[in-house]
Amino acid sequence: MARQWHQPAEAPAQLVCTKEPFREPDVPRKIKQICFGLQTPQDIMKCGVFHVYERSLYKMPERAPHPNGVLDKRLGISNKMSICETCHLKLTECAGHFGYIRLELPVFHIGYFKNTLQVLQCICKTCSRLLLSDADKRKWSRRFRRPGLERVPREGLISSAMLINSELPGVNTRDQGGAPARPLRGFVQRLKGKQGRFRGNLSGKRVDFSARTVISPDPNLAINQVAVPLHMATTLTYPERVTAHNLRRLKEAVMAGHSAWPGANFVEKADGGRMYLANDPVRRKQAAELVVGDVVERHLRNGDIVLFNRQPSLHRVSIMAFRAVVRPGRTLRFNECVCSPFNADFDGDEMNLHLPQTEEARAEALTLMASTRNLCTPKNGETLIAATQDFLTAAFYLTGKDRFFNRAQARARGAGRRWAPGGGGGRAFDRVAQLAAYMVDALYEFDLPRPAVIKPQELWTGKQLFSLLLRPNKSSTVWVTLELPEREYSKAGLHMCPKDGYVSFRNSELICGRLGKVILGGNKGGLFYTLAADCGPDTAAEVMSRLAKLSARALGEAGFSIGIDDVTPAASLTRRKGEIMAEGDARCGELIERSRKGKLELLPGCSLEQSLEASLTGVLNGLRESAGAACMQTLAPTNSPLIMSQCGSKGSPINIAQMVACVGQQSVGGRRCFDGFAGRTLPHFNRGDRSSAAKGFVRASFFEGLSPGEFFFHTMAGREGLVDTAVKTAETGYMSRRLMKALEDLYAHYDGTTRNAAGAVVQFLYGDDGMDPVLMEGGDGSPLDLGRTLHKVRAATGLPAATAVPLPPALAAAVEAALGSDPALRLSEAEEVEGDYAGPDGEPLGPDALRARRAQGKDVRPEMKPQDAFRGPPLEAPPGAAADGAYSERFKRGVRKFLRDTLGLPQDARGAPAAEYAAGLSGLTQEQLRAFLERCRDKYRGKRIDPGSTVGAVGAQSIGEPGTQMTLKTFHFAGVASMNVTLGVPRIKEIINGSKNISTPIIRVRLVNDRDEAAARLVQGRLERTTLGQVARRIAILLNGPTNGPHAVPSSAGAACVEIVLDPAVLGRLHLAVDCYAVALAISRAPRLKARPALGACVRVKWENIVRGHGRIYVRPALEFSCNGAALLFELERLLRALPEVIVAGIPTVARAIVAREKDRNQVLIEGTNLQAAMGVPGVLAYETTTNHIAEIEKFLGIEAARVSIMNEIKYTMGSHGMSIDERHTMLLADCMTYKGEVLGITRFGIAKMKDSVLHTASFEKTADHLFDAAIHGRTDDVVGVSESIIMGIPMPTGTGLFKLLQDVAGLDQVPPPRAPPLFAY
Amino acid sequence: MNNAILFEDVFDVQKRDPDGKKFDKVSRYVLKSDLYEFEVTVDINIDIFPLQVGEKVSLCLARTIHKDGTAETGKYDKTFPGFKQTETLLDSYDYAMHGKVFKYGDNSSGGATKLEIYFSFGGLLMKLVGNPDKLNVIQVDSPVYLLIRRL
Repeated sequence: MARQWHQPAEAPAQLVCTKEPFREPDVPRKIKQICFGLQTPQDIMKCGVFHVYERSLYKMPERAPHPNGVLDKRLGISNKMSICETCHLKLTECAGHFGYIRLELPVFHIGYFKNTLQVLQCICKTCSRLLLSDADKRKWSRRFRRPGLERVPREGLISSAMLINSELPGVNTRDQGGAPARPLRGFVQRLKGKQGRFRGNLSGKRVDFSARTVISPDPNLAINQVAVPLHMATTLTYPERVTAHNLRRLKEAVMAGHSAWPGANFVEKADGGRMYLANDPVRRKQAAELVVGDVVERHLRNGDIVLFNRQPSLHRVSIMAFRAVVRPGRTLRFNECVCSPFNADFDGDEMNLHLPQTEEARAEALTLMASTRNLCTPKNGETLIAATQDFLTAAFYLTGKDRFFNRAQARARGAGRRWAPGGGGGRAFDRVAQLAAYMVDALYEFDLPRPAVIKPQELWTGKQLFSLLLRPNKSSTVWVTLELPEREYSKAGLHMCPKDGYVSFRNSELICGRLGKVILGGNKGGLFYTLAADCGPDTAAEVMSRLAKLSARALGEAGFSIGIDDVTPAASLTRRKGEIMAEGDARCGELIERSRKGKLELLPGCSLEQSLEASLTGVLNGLRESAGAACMQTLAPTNSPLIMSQCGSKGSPINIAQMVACVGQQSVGGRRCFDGFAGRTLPHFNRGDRSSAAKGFVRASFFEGLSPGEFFFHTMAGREGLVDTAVKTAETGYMSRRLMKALEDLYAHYDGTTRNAAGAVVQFLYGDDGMDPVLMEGGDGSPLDLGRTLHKVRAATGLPAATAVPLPPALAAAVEAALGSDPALRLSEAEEVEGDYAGPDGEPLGPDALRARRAQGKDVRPEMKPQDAFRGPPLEAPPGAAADGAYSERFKRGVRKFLRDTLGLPQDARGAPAAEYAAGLSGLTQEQLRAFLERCRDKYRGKRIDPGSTVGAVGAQSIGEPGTQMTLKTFHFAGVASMNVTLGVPRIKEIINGSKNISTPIIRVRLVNDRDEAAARLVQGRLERTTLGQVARRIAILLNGPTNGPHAVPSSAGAACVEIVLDPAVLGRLHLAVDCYAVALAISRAPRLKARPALGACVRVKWENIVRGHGRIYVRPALEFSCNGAALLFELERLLRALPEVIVAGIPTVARAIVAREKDRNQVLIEGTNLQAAMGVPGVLAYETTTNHIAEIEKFLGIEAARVSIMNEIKYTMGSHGMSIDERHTMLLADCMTYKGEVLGITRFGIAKMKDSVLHTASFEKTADHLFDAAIHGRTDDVVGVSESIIMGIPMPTGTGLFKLLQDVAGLDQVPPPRAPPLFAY
Repeated sequence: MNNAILFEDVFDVQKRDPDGKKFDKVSRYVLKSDLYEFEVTVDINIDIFPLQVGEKVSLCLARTIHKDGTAETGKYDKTFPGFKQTETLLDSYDYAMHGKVFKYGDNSSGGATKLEIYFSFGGLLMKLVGNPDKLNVIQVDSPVYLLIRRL
């Protein structure tokens, strides 16, 4: 019916599509659900095609598979020649069929063994009745009431169990029936593990149309290009449908055949025939017969979209779409700028290439995966694709203040002048025109700017060349404005920095500053970031490609290399180094001497040994630093390593110092080299030698060469690094996998929520503001870089003519008007772009007029002005945005505060004419303010998260990927030496595992009185665990204790007891409010001491001087020991040993508390747990007291606090490794871990609680267990998640698969009126 | 003086590279004028125009180098005055640079209002500090010629 109007009777030709439009497969075929269950024998028999009963494999004389054996051809075939006897298909089409074997004896199914046992345990052992209600009993009894259960021989049981699971607990592999060398491969083994069915074949599949080879760099390629070897290009094909437009090209391709490029390998006719273009006759015939509608599998061409990937694929930018460029050679080549997302280098790395096979795939790849669309990493929004290494060096070299260029053809033009412009030939100067030509490759016109120096000769500077790089000609619309201090900035003078370290671009002109890594690297606010944000990623990529070309060629011409003279220390340095070393030795010697005499002052919470080590390490690290500083002063400005370190392309001052001056202290495990021999590191040192040389300080430089001892220490440190790398790869890989499994099915939805595949809400608004992390401009994850936006508005609109600084209320009103929720308050939209080729009267010029103008030599290219950058309609809100004008209150507040801080004058400073004048100069006009706010509004709108975004997967990658860059075992001082905190991968693991026991729990206690040291000590004493042994002067057995008087120990069996005398001096020093009564109470309550009154024990206190706290405590053993003299003595001895351990004050779980000073505020750091007790101690500011133990926070402060704590701890751990992750990622992880109401770890147990899908959990870990479990419980799996969809081979409901196209079929059966033919149809 | 010239004064060269020499071919000079108490900090290519401390120079900022003050296109083509055979301001000076005003600053201290104007000649910077009344003809983002003559 629906076809009727599609093909009317007289329709001349059917519409030929380049590609058949995609249609959903027929409804009944879609897998909606998978049910798991147990098969009855009848079911099994129904599934099988026949009964397998023949035990021999082959029928012998014929050497053919035995009928009814396990090789019967009815079960499927294993070679290309034969045909399946059941379905009559070939090897590639037939998937195989089941047969069934009838077991002679009943057998336990090993997978259900545990469940069987469980069931048996539910049976009463005496009456043999089920411990169940009658209904349940009837159901279960049938299945297990089988005769002869005990008679099953053990042997048979094992061998049949082996077929299911060959890794049985307690069964030796040699007991297995098969060959002794190779263990049997049971069903479970086929399914589980990395190579098993689930992870090897269902979750990851092998693909066609892919290629892999070694990679190499090519700066001449653009950022979005990859050079593909010719050989690959002739093997990879794309099925292109023949249309009228490409008919000729495809005919030529068919003629060229499979061996010549660009050719084709196959032709597929409309009727389904497929021809291999093997030889000339076939090619000629096929080319001649090629008609519209055929499909030609043509070779990969220039400009084809390919996916390019490098393992390990840790984050989404590990696979990106590029444009192929076919080149001779044997390697895949790409621009070095793209190394960092792949983490690739060219020391033999190989990469993979995939060629998408449909137009839809190409379109999606190009818009979503293109390298130019992925300049920024979603981890924190920094640009990952940015200039590296040589490009930085060259840019630094070119933009130096004393880099001057003349014009190439200056002599001819300047002949006959009194002063020759540009005279001097090409002698001392490079030629600016040539360099400009280097970067544009004849792809653009460029307009040379006026030379910076005009007289005595025309000279251009390198900075002008860079302005040209950004904006090659006057019609370009690239406007960049940014200001940023570079590495070399002298911290004073802004633009006038004597080292030229302050970079300023103003309207795409490089005003000042020598470019380096800060500007050209991935930094937020850097050049490429600004370009991508303000002018679009394509512009940024274009500029980057230009920079790559210019850099490679300019540097190739100038030359840049490193030699031995670059690392040879100057004579002055050698002298200075000697002095530094001598001084260092003296200081170390003095410290060692002081510690030997015990006069070394102890660091807080450290022993003598620790204090010595800490101070020695400090001195020795200082030595290398001062030697390094001395070294940097002596280096010439032309020194290559110095230049590389200054511009940030490679190496740091430390590296240079190690080469030239001193390698420094070698450390293993964060300490100086350990003693591998008795009391010394190496046998040629004295025992107990603590000196610098004996503990791994390398005083030589790499230039001088290391002594054998030094070399040994250096290898120790080197080995640690290698081991670390190897271990952490495996650790972080597993961590990433778990994170991904837990978060993979969380997407942002159209209503702004984040939900999992089952539809459960994890976040009501993604990241609390619904913003996309990849687009965040502020370093702290705020949506906009307001300062830069304002700069740009200022630069584009020029100096304000009349300025009035708005007062705060006026500002607030303006912000509210621009960003408020009322659409009526929206500012008028920017005017339309004027016609580019407008004549003087504003009328657009026709082609004739344009040609006439060009003939007159007039420049017809429109000259663009910075103001043009703001023309054009404002960005539309994305379809999923909750409501128009919905700006988070935080954002509005931020804009208001920014404007007040930067523009507003404080109320009391107003009025003075000088101040008003100055403020006016840096102020904004009403129009500028308007432009600024409009720009903020438009940019903010474009930064919302797109519905369908896989925020979970991206979040998992963003947390997993930095893990690979962290060193494995790192400790960090929590403000005090000797108090270590676990950091790095182990700490991240603890956090995401939701560990109940963490290795270094630390409670940070804030104090009510944080100024007074004594008050802090008082609290410390109350927190720290203090034992009786610490405060007692004497603990002794008293066989005849006091028997009369008020202190008498009531006793029937003599007066034997333990006497305790406290030491008031110690108590005073520790600021403990402990007296004899408190101790007595503690003793009588102490667990396992058996001194409780209930047992007949007795604790009595006898005062000697109640004012000074002198007294004695008597402890009498429990009654049960009093009858026997020997028992009594043993008990007294036991008490004597146990009493010193009795805790008399403080929190039992707190091993150590230290007073730390932070910005003249005292706080107490606790090594230990029990936050609740710590919060309850008097003098503690409970509201600000926190711990790094997430399980404790959950227990004492609740789930919301635990969520915040997870976020903070991840941020802190990452931050201490110098990594920043957008808060939205950690927030999502924390939400995912806590949304069920308890902290679930990202482990197999936690994930099993989070997800309902069987396939998902089975594809993660414990494959067989989950499957057996699902079968027993008869679970079902709605195939909605990511893992499940991949396993079932159906598109997953995320990203572009989230929505479906719906068609209103109601009116379709009515034939629409025929459309009138076009007027000039022929 | 015609409308081509924005500013003109006689300066003493007072210091050379006050923060140490950082670049081979470029030095930073500090110049002072006696008359109006202007101070100029300027980067000069010493390879082609070395100045000595103690010299007296005439420094001029011009909107255009056409003597009659006609406006310029700003392009480097045949309209560039350097290619014309006519007399220009260049003829009467030894050293000429072309660049842009990029920033205004405020340097008021001790009651006297002083204005800072920053210029960039393709990365060679100049800072002019002085009385705002004399300087407010110079506008941000306008192209400027710097002309220097030894006296």
